[in-house]
Amino acid sequence: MTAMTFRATTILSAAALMTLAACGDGTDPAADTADHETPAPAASFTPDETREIAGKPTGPVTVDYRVVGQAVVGQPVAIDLEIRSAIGAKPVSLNYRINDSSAMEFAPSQPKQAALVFAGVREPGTQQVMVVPRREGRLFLNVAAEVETDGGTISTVTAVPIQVGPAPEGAEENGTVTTDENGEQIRVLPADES
Amino acid sequence: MQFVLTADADAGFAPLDAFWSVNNTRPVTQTDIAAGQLGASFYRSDIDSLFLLGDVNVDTEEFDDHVVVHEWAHYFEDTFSRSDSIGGPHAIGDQIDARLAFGEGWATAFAAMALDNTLYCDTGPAGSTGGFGIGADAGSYKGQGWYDEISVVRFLYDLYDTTNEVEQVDGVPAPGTDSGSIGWQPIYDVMTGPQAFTPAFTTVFSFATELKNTLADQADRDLVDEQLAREFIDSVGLDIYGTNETNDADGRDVLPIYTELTPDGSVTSLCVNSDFDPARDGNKLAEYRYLRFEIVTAGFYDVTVTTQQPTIPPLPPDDPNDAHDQSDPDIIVFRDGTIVAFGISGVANSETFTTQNALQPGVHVADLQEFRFEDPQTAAGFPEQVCFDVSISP
Repeated sequence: MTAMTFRATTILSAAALMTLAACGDGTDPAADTADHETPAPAASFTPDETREIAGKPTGPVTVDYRVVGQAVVGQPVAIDLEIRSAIGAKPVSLNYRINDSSAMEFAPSQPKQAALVFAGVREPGTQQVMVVPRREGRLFLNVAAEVETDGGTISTVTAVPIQVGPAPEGAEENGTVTTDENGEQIRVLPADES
Repeated sequence: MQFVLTADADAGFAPLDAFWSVNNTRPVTQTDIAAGQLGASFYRSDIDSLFLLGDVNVDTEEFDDHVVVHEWAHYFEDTFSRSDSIGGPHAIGDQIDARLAFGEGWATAFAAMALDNTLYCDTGPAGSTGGFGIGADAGSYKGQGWYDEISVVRFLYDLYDTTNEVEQVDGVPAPGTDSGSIGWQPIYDVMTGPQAFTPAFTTVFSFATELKNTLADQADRDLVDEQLAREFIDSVGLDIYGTNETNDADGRDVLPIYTELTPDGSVTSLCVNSDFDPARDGNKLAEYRYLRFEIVTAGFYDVTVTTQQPTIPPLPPDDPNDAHDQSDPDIIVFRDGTIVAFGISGVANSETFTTQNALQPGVHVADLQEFRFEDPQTAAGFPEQVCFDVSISP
């Protein structure tokens, strides 16, 4: 089945309801001229389920990424970054960070920071970051992009997942699972107020 | 919920499922809710469900109370009011479709009101120092106006809050700054009343117009005008269609916000463009054009949309093996927020259909888009502007 967007699904659902209405008690004008009805046409919307979904806003700088080739333990691997800013040609500062240095580290010559100036509104900035995985699993490179706006400095962070070897992707557990006073299983999450 | 109850003690809440998991993660190639591959935190009205990220390595929401309430506000809009938002990705500073701008601005403003905290904060992955905040009553990022979700945030929040700020520009008080408050009740009443039934699309124009209609005090109506003016939204001659709006974001194909059609077969020409959408999200300013027409005689109508040829620059050569190199206009017709007819076929360079149901007397609105602006497989060289001839005839 061809996937379609929620918007397209909604439209086709509406079409189905319209058809049902036309089969009703005859008070609907459509019922009197049912031969005018046309079947729902094939949807031309993209199979992108994020459209039509009310999601949270993102920061003004977005970072797309691509891991170049297969990541292997002990071998440098390149990550291509494509950075776009929604607030025009203002320069963007990039900071790269690896939280678990036992899992992955930067290649020796890799700077931890970069400054981007955009050539044009439609042209994304590009960067390449070299890292060296130290173990298998799903490892992360954090890319923080910072831009100055009239409303202050905005920093957005993108976690770039790098799958190394065949180890399962399994998410890292956050908090501990316990039981509350009603016997319900709950997860207690750490809150660092410092 | 308690905040809603302060405006309506008898409010009833429709069921809502909320899903959070340590497996709910963001970087995905294809959304798979069952696997927790969400792409973002979001609310989905078709399944009355709210999904929140929880992957500690990527992005977590469990302590981002504004993000949680932002998504809950979409639920409120869906079940207590109405949203015509087209959804899709949106970043601070984007110039976006007016329906999306209002929905997102509403959600962020509601979070600030309900939490009594102006700073919308979205933290980044564990261990990172990043994250970002949006001040509900201060700051702007780029291009204020009816197409800017932050403008909607500030407009709504400054109407609500009792903290009045007088901003200084070059050492003098800026016009239209926050000098009063109407409180939550009128905002709630309009969202659950006229905004839910407006014949226009749900935008800042429909909300602000209906709000002014409900405010008895001239000072309160003046406050609405001042907040609109500060955000570069025209308040003179304000109506639900934004008929007199002059802020075009310095873009083409932006105004008028609604193009009037006569449903007698007359041909109207108008264009769309993707100038504000370098990432091909398909939900930015000028990618949809709004149409408005009045039906006098009930019946089935023929709708025709034809892509003007040649486009400038021209369309790529029509490769019979490539279904993505020609224009694909799509049009959807609404009556009071309900879809009553649509043409969304993949036919190249035209959309022709008879309305699926009889159109009833009254005002109808429609949105017209070029699907190639959001099609990830659009052929290289596809023009950034496409123009159409549109007609509706009995």
